[in-house]
Amino acid sequence: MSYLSYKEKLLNTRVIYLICATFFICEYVYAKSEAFEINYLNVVKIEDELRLDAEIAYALNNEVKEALVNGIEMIFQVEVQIKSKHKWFWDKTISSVTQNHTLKYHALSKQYLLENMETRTSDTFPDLESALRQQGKISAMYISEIQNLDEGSNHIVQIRSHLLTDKLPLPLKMKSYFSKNWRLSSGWYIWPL
Amino acid sequence: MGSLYLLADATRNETSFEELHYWLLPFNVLLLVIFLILIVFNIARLGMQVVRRQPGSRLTLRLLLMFVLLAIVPVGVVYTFSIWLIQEGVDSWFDADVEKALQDSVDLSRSSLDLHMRKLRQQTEPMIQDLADATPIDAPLVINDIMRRSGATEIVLFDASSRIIASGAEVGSSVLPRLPGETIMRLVSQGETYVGLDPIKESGLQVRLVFPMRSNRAGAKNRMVQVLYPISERISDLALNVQEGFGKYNELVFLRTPLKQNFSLILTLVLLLGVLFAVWAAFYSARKLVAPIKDLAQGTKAVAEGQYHKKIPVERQDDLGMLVASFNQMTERLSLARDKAKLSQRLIDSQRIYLQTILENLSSGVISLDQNLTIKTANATASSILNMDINQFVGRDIGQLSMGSENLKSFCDQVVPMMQSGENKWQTEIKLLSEDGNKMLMCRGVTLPVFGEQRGGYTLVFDDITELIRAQRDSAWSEVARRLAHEIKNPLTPIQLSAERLRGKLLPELKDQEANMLERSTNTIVEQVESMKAMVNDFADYARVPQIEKVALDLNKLISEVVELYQDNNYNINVHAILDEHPPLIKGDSIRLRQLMHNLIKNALEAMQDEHNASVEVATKCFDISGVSFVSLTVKDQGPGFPNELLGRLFEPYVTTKSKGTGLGLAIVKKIVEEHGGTIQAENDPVKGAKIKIRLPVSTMLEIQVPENIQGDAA
Repeated sequence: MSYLSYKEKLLNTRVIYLICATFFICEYVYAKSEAFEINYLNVVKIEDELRLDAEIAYALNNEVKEALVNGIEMIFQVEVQIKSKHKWFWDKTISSVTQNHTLKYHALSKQYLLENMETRTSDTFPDLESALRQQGKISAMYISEIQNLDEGSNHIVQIRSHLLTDKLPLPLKMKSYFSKNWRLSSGWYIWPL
Repeated sequence: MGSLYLLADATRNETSFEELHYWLLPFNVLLLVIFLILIVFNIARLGMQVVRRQPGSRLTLRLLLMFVLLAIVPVGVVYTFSIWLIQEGVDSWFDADVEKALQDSVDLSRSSLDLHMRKLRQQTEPMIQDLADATPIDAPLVINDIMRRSGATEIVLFDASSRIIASGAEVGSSVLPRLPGETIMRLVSQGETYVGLDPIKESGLQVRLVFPMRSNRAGAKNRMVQVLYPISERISDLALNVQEGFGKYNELVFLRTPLKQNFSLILTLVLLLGVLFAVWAAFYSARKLVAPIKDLAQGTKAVAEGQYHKKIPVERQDDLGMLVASFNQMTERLSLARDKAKLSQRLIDSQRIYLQTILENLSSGVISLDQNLTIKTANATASSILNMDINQFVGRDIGQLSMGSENLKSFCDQVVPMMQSGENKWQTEIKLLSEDGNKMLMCRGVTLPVFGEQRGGYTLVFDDITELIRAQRDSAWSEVARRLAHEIKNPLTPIQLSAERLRGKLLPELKDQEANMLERSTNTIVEQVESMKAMVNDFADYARVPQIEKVALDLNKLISEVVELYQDNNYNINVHAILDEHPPLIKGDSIRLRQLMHNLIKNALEAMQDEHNASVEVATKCFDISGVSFVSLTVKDQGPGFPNELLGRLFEPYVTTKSKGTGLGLAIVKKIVEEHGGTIQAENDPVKGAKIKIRLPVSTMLEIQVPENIQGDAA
């Protein structure tokens, strides 16, 4: 029916308002908590490679700490991207590398085990703070070959660190849909290269 | 439902559908939102339909509520029970005793390992004292010696700034020794000894001992020694098993609440999706169910408005479909019945018109009445005979006719008792007074039979038989006149002759006195006989069988000639003619018509002999009635007019207002008019005087023959 009465128009408007309100509520629920901070970042050129030194401060909330102590294994991912800036188009991603750390608690020895998934090396720490401090230290991480960079373009390097909720046990994964406590991330930190 | 199954399955088996799972929840939520929007839209539409009172909307609402109630109650019960089961069921997996036993096993393992570590510390502490002051060159040798004696897997000597002075390790271990972390370093730098278990990835456990070394040499930096001992494979396996069991149990305990929330969430999603689907399905089913009912309602409304041709498409084969088919059958029959009724109505109408036409053209007056003597119908003749528009009294009691005209009182007074007498058929003659004279009516009444609920009434049929009676009377008078003429005229001549002979014989012989008497007597006899002869001749004229010769003649010319004769009359009365300019010819006997004119003018003059400045007006006029042409001849005087009581009998013999005369003048006039196929009427002028109106018919055939006749007449 092409003709809409006033009441139907009013109803349609209300439906649109309802959809908008739902969207904003979802946006609020899905907003990530910026619990991690990038304190230091430096890109150095070693031979023909770009390598990154960084220091990330991880602050975990009590809920996550409790999960850790109860044996839940967590994977933290550091994502580094180099992008070539474009004025009118999307930025072009030149390189994207990740580094994952697994952190878990060993109840018998009362030690925290930190494993670098790339180097497959692990360390033990008697307390969480020292483990997180160690996890936050990034040294000479390979990010790209020099030749990959576009000549004459402006480049940026962006970094973020976050907890991989996908790798959490399923009940927690579901919980992470709704709880900000489990969506831990630093957000993207951007530096010009 | 598929996505919900996958969601539940993913909860059970973490490894499968891992990627899919990420999208399952949003997908289900999206489904939920779509259903919600659909339902809100449907509710709004139904709400508006209910407000507008559209047919079927209330039934849809009722069905919807019923469906929703039927769906929600069992689903709600199952949901509540399931939630309770999950809450209680998941909790029942965990047992406080098991938890305690696991915790105890961990504590036991830990105590056992602590004991082992203490022994190692006591064993190692004396051995490493040599390293406090050993030079970097000697230290490896000392370390090798300690390793050999103690069974340590790795020994590292390093200073406070984590610079390795010397180290020794078993063959096959990592090349670069891993120094303790900051926390241990801080502890050890404060002079404490660190004793701890280190889980090694994929190779069990090891004991880590870190000792502070105080150098006895002046100015020498404090050193630290880290000694790593392996734990026997058996103990290590046991300890790891305990750790793994405890870890998994702890994890399960921790995940208990999120797992319950997870199940509850899935159940809630299932409930919501189920309920929303049920509501949507209820809308759909109710609409489907109500659609034929709605059609039926609209069809019924259309039938109520008289649209019998309305057909509803039969889309289903169930009971409702049968109902719709029956409805269609009903409307078809209704339509047929209506057509038949229309046809019957048309037939009745045509019959009614037919009867009405007959009634209107009847020479009899017909009035129909109901049981209560209320007039229902009356034809035009009835009004004409009774001199009143009877249609004005339709719906009123017949007795009220007398209120319309005093003359009808006698009519009502006679008719009403006859109808109330209960006789089925009756007949009577009624004398009716009117301005035109008395009328005789032959009135017949019939009581109508009773048809079903329709009560019987009466039909009144009456004829004006005045003319008939008059004709009978005229005929009687003619017979009387003829016999009078015959019986009286014959002896009159011998009487006259005898009287004259008596006078002739006896007069000379008688003396004067007697002679005078004889003279007077015989004169009287002769005069009276003459007078009687004249009277008998008049009667003979009246009774004479007409032998007229009709020819085409110009009435105006004839009238002008007669009027001319009266221009100089004895009464000094003006006689003038007002004639139609284009009169058609009539077929008539000029001698008889002249006699007619003489009689009428003479009558008028005699009526006005006492009047002054009076005049007689003779007028002709042509007109048509129902396609028949007539010539009207009017003779109007200004005398006293006719007495009302005589008006009806003026044209009868021996009816006269004059002291002299036979009273045969107007009777002869009427006879002449009737011989010419015309009509005559006498009436009084409302102002003054009397009027005689004569109508003579004009034959169209005559109009064609005019020229010859006129020529003949002129010749």
